[in-house]
This record gives sequence, structure tokens and C-alpha cells, in this order.
Amino acid sequence: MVLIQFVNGLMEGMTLFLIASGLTLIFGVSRIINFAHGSLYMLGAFLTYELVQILAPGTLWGFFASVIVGAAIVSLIGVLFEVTALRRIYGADGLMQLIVTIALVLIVRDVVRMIWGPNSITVPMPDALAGAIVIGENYFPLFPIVVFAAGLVIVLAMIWVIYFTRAGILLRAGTDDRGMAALLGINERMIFTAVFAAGAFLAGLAGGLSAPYGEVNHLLDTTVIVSAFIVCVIGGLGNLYGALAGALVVGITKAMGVMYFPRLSMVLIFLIMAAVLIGRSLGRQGGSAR
Amino acid sequence: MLDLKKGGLAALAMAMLAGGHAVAADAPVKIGFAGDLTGACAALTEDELNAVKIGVDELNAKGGILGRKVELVIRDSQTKPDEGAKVARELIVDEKIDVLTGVCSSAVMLAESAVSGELKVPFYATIGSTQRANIELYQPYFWQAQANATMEAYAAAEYVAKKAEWKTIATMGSDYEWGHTSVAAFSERLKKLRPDVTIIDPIFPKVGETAMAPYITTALNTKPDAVFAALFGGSLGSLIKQGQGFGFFQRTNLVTLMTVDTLQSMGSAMPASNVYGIARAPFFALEQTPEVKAFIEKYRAAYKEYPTDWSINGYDGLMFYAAAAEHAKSVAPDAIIKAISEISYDGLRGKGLKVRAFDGQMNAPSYVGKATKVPEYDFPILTEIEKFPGEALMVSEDAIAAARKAAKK
Amino acid sequence: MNAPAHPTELSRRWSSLSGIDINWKLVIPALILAEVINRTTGASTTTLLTEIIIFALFASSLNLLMSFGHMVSFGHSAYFGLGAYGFTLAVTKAGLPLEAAVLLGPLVAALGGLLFGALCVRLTEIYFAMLTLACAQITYTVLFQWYDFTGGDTGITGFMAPRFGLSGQNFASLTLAVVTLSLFALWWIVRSPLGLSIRAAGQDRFRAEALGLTVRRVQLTAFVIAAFFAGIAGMLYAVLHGSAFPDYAGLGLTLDSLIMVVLGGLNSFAGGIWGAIIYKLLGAFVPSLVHEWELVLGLILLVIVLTAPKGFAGLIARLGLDRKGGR
Repeated sequence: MVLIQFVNGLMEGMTLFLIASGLTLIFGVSRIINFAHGSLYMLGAFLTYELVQILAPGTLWGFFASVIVGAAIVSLIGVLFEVTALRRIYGADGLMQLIVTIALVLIVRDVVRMIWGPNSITVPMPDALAGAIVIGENYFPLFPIVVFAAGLVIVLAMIWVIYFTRAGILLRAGTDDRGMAALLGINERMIFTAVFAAGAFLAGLAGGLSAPYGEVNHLLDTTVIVSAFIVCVIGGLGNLYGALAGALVVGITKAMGVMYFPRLSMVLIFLIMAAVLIGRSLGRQGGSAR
Repeated sequence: MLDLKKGGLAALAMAMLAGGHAVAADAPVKIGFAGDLTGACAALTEDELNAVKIGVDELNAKGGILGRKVELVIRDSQTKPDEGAKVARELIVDEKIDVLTGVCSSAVMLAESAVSGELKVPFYATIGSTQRANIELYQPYFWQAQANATMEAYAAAEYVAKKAEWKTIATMGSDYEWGHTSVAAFSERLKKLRPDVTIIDPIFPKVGETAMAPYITTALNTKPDAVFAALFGGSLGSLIKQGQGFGFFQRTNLVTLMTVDTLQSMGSAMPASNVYGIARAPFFALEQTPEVKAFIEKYRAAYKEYPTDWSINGYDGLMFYAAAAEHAKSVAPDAIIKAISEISYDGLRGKGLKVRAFDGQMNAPSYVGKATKVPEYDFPILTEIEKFPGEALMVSEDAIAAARKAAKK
Repeated sequence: MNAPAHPTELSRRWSSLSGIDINWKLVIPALILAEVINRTTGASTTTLLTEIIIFALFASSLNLLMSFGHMVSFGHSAYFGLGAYGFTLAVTKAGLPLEAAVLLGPLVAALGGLLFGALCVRLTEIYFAMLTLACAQITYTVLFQWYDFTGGDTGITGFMAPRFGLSGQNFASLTLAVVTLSLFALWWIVRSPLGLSIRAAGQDRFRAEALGLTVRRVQLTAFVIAAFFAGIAGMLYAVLHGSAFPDYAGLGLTLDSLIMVVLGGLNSFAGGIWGAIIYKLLGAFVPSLVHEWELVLGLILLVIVLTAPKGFAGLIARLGLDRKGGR
């Protein structure tokens, strides 16, 4: 039982990481708190739903192809939003950017509702992933294991891009010292747009990958954004490895918490978040922002 | 001082505005629909509203209520109690509605019920079903035109009790009022009916939880013959989808709320067997009278989908109100309230529906059946359905009086 | 006060920079206008007006933190909710008379502000914001789940006649009076030496510290004051509807208040008031006109922010309408 709950937690943790990775990436580089991240996630899920029906419902390749194409479309939508709205107010107070992303949340929610209606939809599970690995009396469902593996691939891909490619070097330069990067002739705007595209892609990917495993409806955005924030904060905003660690901590604590203090599940993660933040302030006298 | 009402242009404007609303014999009967059209309740409320619109058209085609035209005034309470109270007040005071309805969320329902009680305008609920509205927060202008949460849980217990081979039952509920009330009522009735059954202590996932694997694992760990789950929406869908990977539907049975919209949204993801659903008014389980058939056809023609439980209840609720008004020969609040417990109404859900004067509860039925895929529909429906008449499920007046007294403390 | 010196000349320059002089030519007609609207229009306008007035105070209390203390709170609804529940529970559980309960509400909010604020001011910027969010969500969850005490998700209703049984119009006038006094008090605080230290700590905490201010203590004081006034707003809201619900401490209300402050204009005392008026009016009229009101509201927000990135107060200053507060 403890083992299964641990695995359950690990699986949820990876899903949470997928959700949070894009958010933390965008914040790390552009300092934008993207409230619309959950909306992009939701769009990913709905686009996967549509694409799966066109491509090949029930098949493995059909599902993954739909997720990737869906995420690419979400990425384009993200870029469109960044270029038309966000870019115009990079100079203004950071809170203005927050309000712009909140506006996007409202818009996306209603557009999704207009297209797909208020009822939940079901994204079919690929037949090959519907089963479980059964060891004795213990069931380990296949689908979350595959999502976990996909998450690992994404982590490795992100590490590779950030540390071993030219794009990654520019990115790190931009994060570490914007002014210096600009002096060296790095086009900051290009980086911001590219990062927003990548963040939106990750959001769409997470939405598509998780879609068959839960309910998809026009209210998915709020649920997702709060979990994503928690994970990012626990891991340290803008810190990719931190997000991974934070996601796993949250996932495992939630799953284990069900066994020991079930009624606390709702407060538990906020308590962890508060504890981590307070711990951070104790660790650093003066508690500066980063 | 600043009261300009008694003179000047403002008074003139007021008089002009108010003129149209003066209650006259030929003025329309106004139905105020303050429903949760956006937010968590949007899907249910939309189905309800769709049916209410059909009902209003039908009433008007037949000459309205008491020969007066019926007019529907719609407001969005946004699934927020404060917003609900606000629009309810606006509908009553400014729009001068004759009856208030539409609400879905329990919190919004109690907020609107308080306004209805304060301003003495009839209010009936056809989705929101918290029993608090019948017990400590009961006010005489309220009635509940469907089975409340306790009655539904009783129906589930009655159904489960008949499964002689089920000896251990695990319970689960969303961690809020509805989940707790349902689990408590289910356990209470089942213990009475089947003292031999072991009921496992309930677990309460947070509202809207979608990562259900830890809860599935915990429930299955007790090796139950069935799991009673007072879950809804995202949590329920996640339980069914994620449960399959754990062999949930090979290892145990699930008893849960399963209205038509849930059946439709689950679609092909519904397990082949071992899911039992409690429903309020599934169209396929109603006695297929000409009226029921006509309603289903009309609904399908208008909205290209089958009516859900919420639609049937919304329509039935409106028609019940119309019947009460015809009986009272008036839409005056006190006459209506007197009439609702005097009439016996034959609606889509069956004959002899009436409201108990003591707590405003209608003897509405509940349905429990087995989720099955059938060739006639592209979504699973409930089969082996048992319809539980409302009378047998209603909490006795004595018990309610006792509960009211206990809540006062 | 530890602040070295606060010569009146400097103070005057500061206040004009921040647009915090009271423009009596604007305030008095505005108050009269509000009362005239209240007395001459229908019940729903009166309710809307009451809400706007209450939210003007709520947004202004957040504005004290954001514009002057540069502390961005993502959890200000907690104190609104605590004010509402403090009042409601004082009536239902402690059996206090209404007159005593109305005082208890804001005090409970201030106490909550003291407790959470003591933790939050240890952090800055985004981490401060995130800790306020966590504190608010914990408050919300307790209100939502502890249903033997707080009534849980279905809240507390029917414990009093809404608005103390006053007519809508009279209650609106009462609210207007209470909120006006509260706003004057807030304004006085901003202008006081304490307000100067709050602004000093907000502008440059290291310089403020070097000047001898205990920044955390100043920030905590600001936090408690903001919580107290948010608590007054919450208490008034509970009286208006005669009910309290966990939503009053929810994320939705926090976002609403943030939008109000930013829309109204940061770095301006009137920003919270303008924001409440604009956002509440939009929230009242857009849903009654279109079914897809979220879409339209989102687009309007987008347009406002893109055309007036300094908020409404900034727009007024730019148009030269706000002669005294302009640059």
C-alpha cells in the first residue's frame, strides 16, 4: 500500500511538473507571471480531443501525434498573444502583464465554452495504455507510467536545449543579466517570444498528455493554474530543477497524506508552500527575492 | 434632504418606468431565472434553462398562466452566492417577478432562499438539493422540486441493501456539505437495512480533486464489495477513468451519482460493468407517456441533444408552478404557497407529485440503475433501474423538527 | 518615529507626486452625486452602488500595500473574508449584539493580518505575493471545510435581517458614510509620518533601513492596517447580504481586487476607488448585455490595459483633468 501510494505520488508529481515547467520557464526569463498558463493547458487538452478524432482514435501514434500537434498549435496561440498584447507592455509595471494574462484567461474560457460547450468531454485512452502492470495484488496503471516516461524525456530535452545549444546559451545569458545580454547584441524580444512559445508548447503538451486521464471542460484552467503556482513556488520560481523537485514533493505528499491525514489534503500543499517560503526567509537573512 | 423622489424630473421618470410593471390582470406572469450560467454549475444550469424555455413557450401556446402571458427573465448568478443574492433581489424588487428559480449550487441556493424569505416571493429549486434548505434554513416561501441529497443517498442505500452478496462497503465523498451529507445518510440507512454489512470509514477527497489514484488505492485496500462515492464532475470522471488502470471495476463495484450528462460525457470511457448510478430523472427511465415522448422529441429538435435530468426537473418544476397557480387562481405568493401542498401534480417524472407543507420537500422520485452500453444510444444508459418513490425516502417531520432544534443550539 | 526628518516641504512634494492630495472640488460633488444616485434610482442601482462603495474601500486597502508599500498581495481577500466571518460568527456563535459584532469583524481581520503579515513581511516581491496567496488559501480552506463552525461551503445565512433591516437606500447612505470616513483615515495614514515610512520602505528598503527604519515592522504595520480596512469592507458586505460564504476569502475576490487597483492606477491614492467603480460597473452591465460576458470583459480589460498602461488615474493625469495631482 505504501509503495503503491508512493508510485501514485510520483506519477502525479510528473504531471504537475509538466504543468509547472512552462510557467517557471517563462517566469525565469521574462519575469512574467502567466496566469493564462492554465488556459493554454486547457486548450492543449481540447485540441488533442479534436485531433485524436481526426487522426486515429484509440491508437498510440494517433494519441501522441495529436498531443504534439495540439501543443504546437497552442504554442502558436501563445506567440500570437505575446506579440500582440504582452510585448506592448514590457516596459510597464509587472502587474499590468498580470492583468493582461488574466484577461486572456477570461477570453479563452469563454471561447472554449462557445466551441465545445459547458459539458465535460472525454479524450479516449489509447487502447494499448488502458491496462496495468499487475504484480501480485498490486496494480500499476500503464498510462501514468507512460506519462512519467514522457515527462522524463521532456526534462532531458530541456536540459539539452538549455545547456548544449546556442539557443540555450542565449537564454541563460538573458536570464542572468539582461542588460549585459542586450549590450552583446542579443535580441531580447526574440528571446522573450521564443521562451513564451516554448512555455506555451509545454502547457499544451501537459494538457494533451493528461487529457485521457481526467475530465476536460472549460473550467480546467483555474484548477491547473493554482497547482502550477504551488509547484513553482516550492521549487523556486524560474528554477527548472526546483520545479521538478517541487512537483515530486507535492505529488508524493498528497498521495501519502491520504493515508495519514486525509481531511488535510486541501490545506496540506498550501502548508508546505508556506513552510518552504518561510524556511527560505529563515535561510537567508533579509529574505531577498531571489 | 437629498430625497428628490417626491418631486421633479426623477419622479416623472420613475413613474414612467414603473408604469409598465404595474400589476394588472393582463400583465405577464414573470418567472425570474437566477441561475448559475457561468462557473462550476454552467453545464447543469444550461440544460435546465433550455427546458424551462420550452416550458414557457408551451405555457404561452396554451394561453399562459391564468390567461396571462408567461415571461422569463434570466440573470446569471455566476455560481457565486453573493451574486445570486444580488440578482435575486434585483429580479424581485425591480423586475417584480412572481416566482424565483434556476439555482444550482447549494451555497447560491441558500443565499437566494434567504432573499426569497425576506421579500416573501416564492422560490423553488430544481438542481441544488441541500437539505439545509428544508431544515434549519427553511423559510415558508421555498420548495424543493426534486429529491434532496439525503433522499438520493437513501435511494442508493435501498438499492445496495438488495445486493445480498455485498458485505463490505467503502464510502467516499467530496469534502463539502453535499459529500458529507450524502455519505452520512447512505451509511445511516444502509446500517438500518443491513446490519450485517460492514461500512468502512469514509474518505473525503477535496472538492474538484482530479488526482484520484491515492483515493482509489485507499478504497481498494479495504477489499470492498462496493464503493459508494458522493462525487461529482471532475472528481467522478477522474475516479472512473483512473480507476480502470487499478482494475477497480474488476475488483469492486461503484455506486455514484450518474445523471444523463455524466453518462454522455463519459461515453466510451465508461467501464463495461460494475458501475451503478443514482439519477434524478433519466429520460430513458421515465414512463414513456405521450407527454414524455413529446418533450424528449421537442427538446432534441431544439437543442440537438437528449434532455438531461436537469432539463426534466427544470421543466417539471415550472409546470408544477403553473399547476399551483391555476389551482390557486392567483400568483400571489401566499396563495401559491398554500396551493403547492394542496395539489397533486402529474408530471414527466410520474403521477401524484406534491410538496409537503412542513418543509417544502416534493415527494420526487430517485432512480438507481446499472450503467450499461446499449446499441440504441451512443452513450451508456442505466439499466435494471429501480424507481424509488419520494414518500419512502423523505425524512419524517419529527426528525426534521428535531434537526431544526439541534441546529438552533 | 525613527525617520530622520520629514520636513513639510518634502511631504508636500511627495504627496503631489503621488497624487494624494484631496481634491475637494472633486470629492464633495462625487459624494453628493453618489447620494443623489442612491436616492433617485431603483433598488438594483442602490445595491450596485453599495457594492461599489464597499469595494472602493477594499481595493483602497490593497492599494495602500501595493502603491505605497510596494507589497503586492495575492491574498487580500483573506482579510475581507475574515472581516465578514468575524462579524457573522460573533453574532451566531458568540451571541454578541450587532453593534459589538461590527467592531469585532475588522478586528479579527486585523488579527489575521498580524499573524499572516508577520510571516509574509519576511519575504519580498514575488515570494511575498506567493506567501500571501498561501495564507489566503489556507483561510479559505478552513472556512470551506470546517463546517461545524463556519457552515462550510454553504456558508452562514439567515442569522440577521440584511442591512440591519434598513432600507437599501438608507444602508447605502450608511455605507457611504462609513467608507468615506475609512478612506479619510487611510488617506490620513498615507500622509502621516507612518505613511512616509511605508513609502520609504516601499521605494528602497535598503536605503530606508540605512536611514534607521525597521522595514519589516513598518511593513507589518501597513499590512495590519490594510487588513483592518479590508475587514471593514468584508463586514459591510456581510451586512449587505446578511450572509457569509467562503467565496468572500477566495481567489476570485483577490483577483478582482488586484484588477481594480491596477485598472484604477497604481501609485495613486484614488486608484483603488476608480478601479472599483470601473470594474464593478463592467461586471454589472456586461453580463446583462451578453451571454459571453467573460469574453467581452476580457477584451475590455485587454484594451484598457494596452491603451492606458498607467491605469485610469494615470489617464486622468495625462489628460490634465486631475490638475492638482498631475505632474
